[in-house]
Amino acid sequence: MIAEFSFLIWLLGLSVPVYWAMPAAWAAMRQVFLAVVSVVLLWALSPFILIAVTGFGVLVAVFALAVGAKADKRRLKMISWGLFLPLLLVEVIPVDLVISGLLGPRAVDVAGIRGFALLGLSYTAIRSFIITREIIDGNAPSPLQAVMSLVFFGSFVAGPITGSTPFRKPAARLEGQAALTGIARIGWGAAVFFVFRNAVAGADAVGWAGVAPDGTAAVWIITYQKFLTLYLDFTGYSEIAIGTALLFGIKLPENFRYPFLARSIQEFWQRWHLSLGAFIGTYLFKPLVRSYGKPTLAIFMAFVIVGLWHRLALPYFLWGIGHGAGLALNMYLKQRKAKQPRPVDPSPLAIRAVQNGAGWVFTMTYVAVLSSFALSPDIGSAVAYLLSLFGV
Amino acid sequence: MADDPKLPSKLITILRDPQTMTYVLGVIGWLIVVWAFPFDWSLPAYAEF
Repeated sequence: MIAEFSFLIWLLGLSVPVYWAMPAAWAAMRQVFLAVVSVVLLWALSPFILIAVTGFGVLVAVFALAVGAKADKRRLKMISWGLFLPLLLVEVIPVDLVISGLLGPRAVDVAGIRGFALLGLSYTAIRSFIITREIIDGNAPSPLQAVMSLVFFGSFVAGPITGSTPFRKPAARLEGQAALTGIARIGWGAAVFFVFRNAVAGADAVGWAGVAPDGTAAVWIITYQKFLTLYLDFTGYSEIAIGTALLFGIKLPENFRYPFLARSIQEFWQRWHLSLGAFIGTYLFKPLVRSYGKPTLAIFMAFVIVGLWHRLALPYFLWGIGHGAGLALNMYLKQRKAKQPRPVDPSPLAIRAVQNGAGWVFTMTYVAVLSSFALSPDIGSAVAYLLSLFGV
Repeated sequence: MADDPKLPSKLITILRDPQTMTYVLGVIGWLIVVWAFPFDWSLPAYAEF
């Protein structure tokens, strides 16, 4: 694992000076250089990954041609959801076996391919979708900016999720503050990702492939432990991605804002995976509210879809229902409270502290249980996990 | 300096600045990473591809 980090340090040490050595007037050349470095890395990871990303790029180009040919924009918007269809395909086709069969002994990294099929492909699909929507909405990036948005190595594997916005106007020169911030965030992210996460996860003590611990208390402890591990993994990665981008003058959006302070499901999603939240708001929640007029129904539907985006599997479908139902109930209770007259005397501090504490414990437990449930390998072990929480 | 009664509040003010916090966490992070892993700064052998 650390070999990968030292590889990143080497890569940045070599590519950042070359990038900035090009004069500011060569902004396009800088982007071409960064795109080439990213493409070579993707190829090195697995030729299959590069082929898959190229396929998405071609689909985006087809949409651009259709917009150029004055195709009906409403219809194009509907069709653009088809960019998520490959996610369905990888659930049906045993991608890793097909690829290793096709590429023979070159496909040494079958686990990497499987990982990409399950995670990287979701991110590539969502990026392609956003870029396509930008094109349909008349806000098209240049081809180079679109390629950069799809392949930039810093954020390729797991976000933050963006369209082409951060890649449209990279900084013309490397500011001292941006460079120091980038280096600092890579350092902190690496500590979180490589050290804290491993310390919490323990040496192979907690696998993602289901749990078989002794006793109900152990199941609960592992539930929180797994969720903390997921957070450290994800936030550490995001920090490294944001820091890496800053060294190239690219400002990626933030992905986390202290999610462990959340006292309600709604607040949790205002703090957790913010770039996904922005996507949900723009492309799912708002259009669904416009279509159905009911925010509670819209948020429920949006999260069911997002569950399936994570993975087209029953545990994730139920994860989406769980989060969607929690958010819809949260929203409904808030709306009802807003309609009631405000009490003259606010609740005493002690009562509010208890309410906040209970809200915090409930929120953390709810999201942690849903997370462990969704990460179960199949629905059978997911249900077994839920029952084991209650000693069954 | 050490006797400055306002030192704790000054420190809190500095640490509440997000930019400063980023630098502080960065220094801590790099120290942890270097401490946790005896780095081999030679180029990793990624010659498989």
